[in-house]
Amino acid sequence: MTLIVEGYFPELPNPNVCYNCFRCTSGCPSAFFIEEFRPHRFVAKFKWTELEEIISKEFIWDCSKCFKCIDLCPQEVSPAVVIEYLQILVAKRGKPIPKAYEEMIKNIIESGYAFPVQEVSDRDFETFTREDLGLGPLRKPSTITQLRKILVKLK
Amino acid sequence: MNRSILVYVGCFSSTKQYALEMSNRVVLEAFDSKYEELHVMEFPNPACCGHPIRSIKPEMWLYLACRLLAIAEERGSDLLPICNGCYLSVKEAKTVIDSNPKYMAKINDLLKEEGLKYTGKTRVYHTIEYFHDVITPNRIRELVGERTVGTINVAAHYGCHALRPKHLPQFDNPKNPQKFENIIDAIGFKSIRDYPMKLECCGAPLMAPNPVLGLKVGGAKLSGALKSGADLMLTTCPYCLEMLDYRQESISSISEIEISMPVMYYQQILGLVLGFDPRDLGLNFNMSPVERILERFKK
Ligand code: SF4
Ligand code: SF4
Repeated sequence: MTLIVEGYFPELPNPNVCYNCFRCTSGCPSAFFIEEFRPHRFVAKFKWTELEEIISKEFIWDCSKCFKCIDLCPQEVSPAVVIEYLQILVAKRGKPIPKAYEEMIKNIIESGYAFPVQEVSDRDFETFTREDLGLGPLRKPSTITQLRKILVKLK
Repeated sequence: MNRSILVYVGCFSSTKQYALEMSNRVVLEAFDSKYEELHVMEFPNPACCGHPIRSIKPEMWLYLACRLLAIAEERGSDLLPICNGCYLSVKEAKTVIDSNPKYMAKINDLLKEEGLKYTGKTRVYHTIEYFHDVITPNRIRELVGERTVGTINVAAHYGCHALRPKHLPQFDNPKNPQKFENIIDAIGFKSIRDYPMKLECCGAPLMAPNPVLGLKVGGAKLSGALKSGADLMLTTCPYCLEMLDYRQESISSISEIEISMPVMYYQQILGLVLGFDPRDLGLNFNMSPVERILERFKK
């Protein structure tokens, strides 16, 4: 299988050996609740290189990454990796990705962390910071300047 | 064991799920001060493990995960990421570059900029693995001693990323793991070794792309534990806890049955049994009905 994306990519299993046996879909929690979400169908589309059709579908983001399909597949096709491959393809082509992911990338480059530090409420609606809890301020990466440079390069 | 272990807390617990960092610190310090051969330290120079963005920016993911390994290697330490996402991220990255000299060379090229180098000497531990294989159930029993609050039936939630995919290095049998149950029993509780949905997902990764789907998946998981007669559900993962505990009310509101199940971190309940104050374990942040369990500790 030739790689269609540049740079690092998870070892892509061979979808051509898929039995179309449905085992992946039968154990998939997302498939249980969402009619259109069918891991074996992603694999089939991939096999027939009908990529354009499938990557335009919003539901390709509905995989919970539980990896049961990888463990269930008798042919080592790894449907979750196929799905991840499609997601990466969407991102590499500059098509819209769920907002939450864009936020996280921005945050990581900015601060080293995927999320901004929060004040949290407890059961009695009292709010606490890290400092209040004796955890001290959020530890900044000591090499943040260099790290930022590297991450921008990999973006 | 003389090698030290660096505890890597990860983004989610560092910025929101503070109870994990708090309870983990309290409990591991208790073991460290009693047993000389145990030695945990705080991770220096932390940044994201890359897991949350792996399916958008795979190169960024690989770099971020590998730099954690390289930092641990620089200190001559092993690595204990206390979040399932971070654990899988680092374990998978290690597997990828250890078996691929080309990627290793590329990563090392980038690591130079941060003054780091990766050769693959660091071992990665999961929290359950650390409690079971390094601390051991015997030492847990010893430290707990005579303290008892009677039987509590516990459903253990490993979380998907602890043991899947199964082709990566594993600390327990991914098809029917038992180590979490063993360390729960060592506290003096009764784990339910098989309950419906034991190996199912909590739904947390779906909260970014599709929250309603995430809540449904979480509801299915909690219903399984309820049906088994569990009094308490335990996990070690901050994403799973946020989902099963913090979002339990939302889950219940879209479920057919009412869902009411105390959910805690393993480190929180162990800390309670060891006599620590619930607030020092961050138990005031749990939103599920943990008061049912806390009452048992009031004398
Ligand atoms: S990917 Fe694997 S489990 Fe799914 S249909 Fe194909 S062979 Fe069966
Ligand atoms: S990893 Fe994704 S596709 Fe595979 S079983 Fe889990 S939710 Fe379904």
